[in-house]
Amino acid sequence: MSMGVVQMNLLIIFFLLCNQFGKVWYLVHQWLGVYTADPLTLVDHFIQFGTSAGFPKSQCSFMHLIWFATSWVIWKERNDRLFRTKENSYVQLLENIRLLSYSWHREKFVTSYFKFHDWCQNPFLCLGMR
Amino acid sequence: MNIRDGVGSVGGAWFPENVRIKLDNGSQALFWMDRWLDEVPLQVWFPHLFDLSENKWLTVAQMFDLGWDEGGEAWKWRRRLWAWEEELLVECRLILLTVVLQVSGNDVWMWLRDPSVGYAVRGAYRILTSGTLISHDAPLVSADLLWRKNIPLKVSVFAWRLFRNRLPTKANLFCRGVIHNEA
Repeated sequence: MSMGVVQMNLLIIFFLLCNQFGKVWYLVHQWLGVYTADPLTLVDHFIQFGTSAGFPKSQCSFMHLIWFATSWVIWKERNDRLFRTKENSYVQLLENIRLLSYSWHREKFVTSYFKFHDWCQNPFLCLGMR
Repeated sequence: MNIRDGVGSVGGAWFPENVRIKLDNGSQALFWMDRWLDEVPLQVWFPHLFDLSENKWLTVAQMFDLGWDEGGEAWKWRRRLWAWEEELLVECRLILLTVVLQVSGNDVWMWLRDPSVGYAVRGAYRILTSGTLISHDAPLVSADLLWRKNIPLKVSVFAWRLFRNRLPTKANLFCRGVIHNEA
């Protein structure tokens, strides 16, 4: 039996591909300079995103943190738009993602010291990964 | 008690949640009302569009033949759409871009609990009486990736719910019988 329809979860379209929030992911990709193929499931996307920078598995967790930050910011923004009719600009959303991931990383690597500005410029460099 | 709606039984609307139509030529599935594209019918995702549509009872094949691209005949409305409704329509069409219909073959209804055998009263009875109506989980992310010390717990919980499609979105609340139609 052939599968006539690509059974794509609508959540994915909402979170990753739609006009509203696809752009946020696009900006994050631009910031990091890495790209992923269109995923079939959210979990796929999460895993792909982790390896997309080409780092060994042990360092994927860094990319996952950014994935968490991005989806968290999108969820909050979605709720703001839906329930509070408040809308942040895309630039602001990207800034929030950078801030969140920065603070989470600082918590992990207390010893390493880098400024938020450096983090925005090149997070890989901050972690000594590139 | 209406067992078809699963009232009073474990797991809510067990029957519609476990039945899917597998699309081939789209002649059996109702475009707006059946769960042919996702776990949620399009009428729930786009209640406003559904409300305004003149073609509520058309099948997927009929809608496709009329044309669901921009300006297609499939989109007949009771009145002109407002700008924000047009945006909804753009989103809806974006979803439809992923649909490929086959020329041959008919749509088939599937019983997700037992795709090979299909629906049988015996099987359904066993599932209902065993009291554990566990939903088929999506492939999951390993725990050490999800639960981590340096990210706030609420973010981990959010991601956990997201991966399992457990976020309290309108569509999910509808699926689980918390809200009805347009709340």
